[in-house]
Amino acid sequence: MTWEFVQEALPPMLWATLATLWSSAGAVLIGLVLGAPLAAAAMARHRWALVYISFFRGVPLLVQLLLAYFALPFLGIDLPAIVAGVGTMGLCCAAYMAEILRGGLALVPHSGIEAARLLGLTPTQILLRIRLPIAIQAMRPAILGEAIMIVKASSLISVVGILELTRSAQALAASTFMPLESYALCGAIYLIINLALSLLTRGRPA
Amino acid sequence: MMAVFSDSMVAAARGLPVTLIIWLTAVAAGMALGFAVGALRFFAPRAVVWPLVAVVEVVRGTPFLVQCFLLYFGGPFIGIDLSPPLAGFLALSVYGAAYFSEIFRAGFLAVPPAQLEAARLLGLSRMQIVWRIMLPVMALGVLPALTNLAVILIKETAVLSIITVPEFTFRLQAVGSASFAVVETTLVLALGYWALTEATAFLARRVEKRIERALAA
Amino acid sequence: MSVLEVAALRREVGQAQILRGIDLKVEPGEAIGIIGPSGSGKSSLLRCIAGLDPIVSGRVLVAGKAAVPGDGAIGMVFQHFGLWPHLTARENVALALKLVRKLPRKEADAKAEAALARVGLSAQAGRKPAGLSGGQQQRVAIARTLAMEPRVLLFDEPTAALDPELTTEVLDVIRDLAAAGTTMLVVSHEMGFIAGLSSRVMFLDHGQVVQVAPPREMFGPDAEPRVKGFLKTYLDRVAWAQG
Ligand SMILES: Nc1ncnc2c1ncn2[C@@H]1O[C@H](COP(=O)(O)OP(=O)(O)O)[C@@H](O)[C@H]1O
Ligand SMILES: [Mg+2]
Repeated sequence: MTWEFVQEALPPMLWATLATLWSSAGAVLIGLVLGAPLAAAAMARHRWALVYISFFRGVPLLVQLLLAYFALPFLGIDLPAIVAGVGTMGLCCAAYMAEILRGGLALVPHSGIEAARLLGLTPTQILLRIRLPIAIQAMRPAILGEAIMIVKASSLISVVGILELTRSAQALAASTFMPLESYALCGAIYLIINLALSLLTRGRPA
Repeated sequence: MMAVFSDSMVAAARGLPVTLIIWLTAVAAGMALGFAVGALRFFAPRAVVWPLVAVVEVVRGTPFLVQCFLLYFGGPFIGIDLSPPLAGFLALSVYGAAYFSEIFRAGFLAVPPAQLEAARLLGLSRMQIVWRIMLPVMALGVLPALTNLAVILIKETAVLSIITVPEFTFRLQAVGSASFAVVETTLVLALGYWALTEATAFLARRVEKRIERALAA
Repeated sequence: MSVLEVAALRREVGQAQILRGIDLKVEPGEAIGIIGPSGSGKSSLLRCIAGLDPIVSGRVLVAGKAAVPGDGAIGMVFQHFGLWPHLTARENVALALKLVRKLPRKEADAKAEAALARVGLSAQAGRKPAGLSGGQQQRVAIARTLAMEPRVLLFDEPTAALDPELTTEVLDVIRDLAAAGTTMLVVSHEMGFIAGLSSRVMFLDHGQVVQVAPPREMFGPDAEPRVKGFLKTYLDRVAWAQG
């Protein structure tokens, strides 16, 4: 890697890093918000929830993105690429979060829930104030692991034309004729993000 | 509409075998490599373990798509000039191996130390300990994680379409853009993968049950 | 008027008859001890009274009204505490005061502190359950129930999950509450404690009430043969253990 290359590469790549970061954050947020009720519904064995989880975990994210990007406009739903991209990642993330939270919810001791019922908390309050916090705390490593998966998966939204890290590296490779350096730099930035995220898992005891 | 349908069928008939062959060979290669790495991390000297850990962490910390780009577009600059299917197979094997090695490592860690110390005191060699003690003891425990990863790798094969491997996604996308029937072909893709992953997961559970019973007997 | 009235209460699960017609009237300020062999239905009785388990027939009236779980009429303390691990002791006690009683934060916290003080845990209010001993956890659970001021308090083997040296602190708290006039039903195998605490003791076997009597009678020579049989194996075991 030459000094000229770094000088040319760094500004656009850093901008693209921001795009990767916030689109991943958006997807994880959607995933958590939708994943919680989805987990509760899956635990109650509602069919739609089980089918949802099976679909979004069973179909490659790339195909989901193609579906959202190409198929939705045909149905008259015209979304900006960024909304389609982040939204699809979020819907997919929700399925994984639901599975994680389902595992966590199963760990919540029964007596704690009964105590809450006797004290008069409503089922919604019990879910939001007792069961979910316990599940999220127990599953924090898995949730952060899923966040890391999403950061990596976000490289796929380059396919629908969003200028994030991977897309930016493609452009760099084309303009500099240095694909090796471009993709290595791109990979290094992903690695730094994910190492930072996994340090979060290890830091701060529960 | 009929034409799109029959074109899709032809494309699927051409693309699915490519998907399946790359997937199966990459799972086999990745599992073997992953097992070796997992075992080495236990027994090899520090100087070997360190770089291994670094490689595993790099592979696990970067997107599969970027790895594919690096190998396929960057490779030729350092003398690695592979056809798309070969590059795809290699990338998927290495990617899988990193995750397989973590599963095996966790399995090795779960073997009670007393059993290993007993084997060492009795004079078994390292290889013997790995094959005769650790592998059987942990096999049952790691099986679900292994099949789970295999299913995840099916989905990763779709990414190979981006480096023009003529697999399922690539073929159907080609039909879609040629016929302007993208909705239909993308739906076929989604349903095809969904059926494939569900069927694999179902089969895997049955195999797990059978092995469990065989080991229990 | 009785504060708690249980009449002809039956519980079945499939074919199994778990409670076969239980009658009990409890006056304000009474402490009822409940004893009996394991599987006799002691926990089921408390859970039915609390409304946690469904009954097939009979009724449970608290101060003349049918009790609904969560209406605050009945409080229950479980063998395994049931504390919420993500909240501190104070937050455990204050949560229902905020969410159910709709008390403002400050008031709820003050009330929680008072309840914790009553079980001797003022100093531990900021700790999470994982940082407390079993006995302290159970006292937090008691404070959590107390703070809601239920008409009747139910204890289901509150010390059974505790190491022996931690039972005293919990039993002392329950004794203090009884002395202060709290109406309670207590299931326990600590016979000495039950004898000293209860106004009346109920002996259950196979889902039926065998005898209800003041402790002097229940633990005396004229108890029902089945009661004596149970207490004998019990005391034999203690005697054997003490060598
Ligand atoms: N939900 C249930 N389903 C089936 N059987 C139950 C259930 N709850 C309790 N039982 C049975 O009812 C009997 C009484 O149980 P329990 O009230 O827990 O007794 P105790 O607390 O006196 O030990 C036991 O034989 C137990 O197996
Ligand atoms: Mg019981």
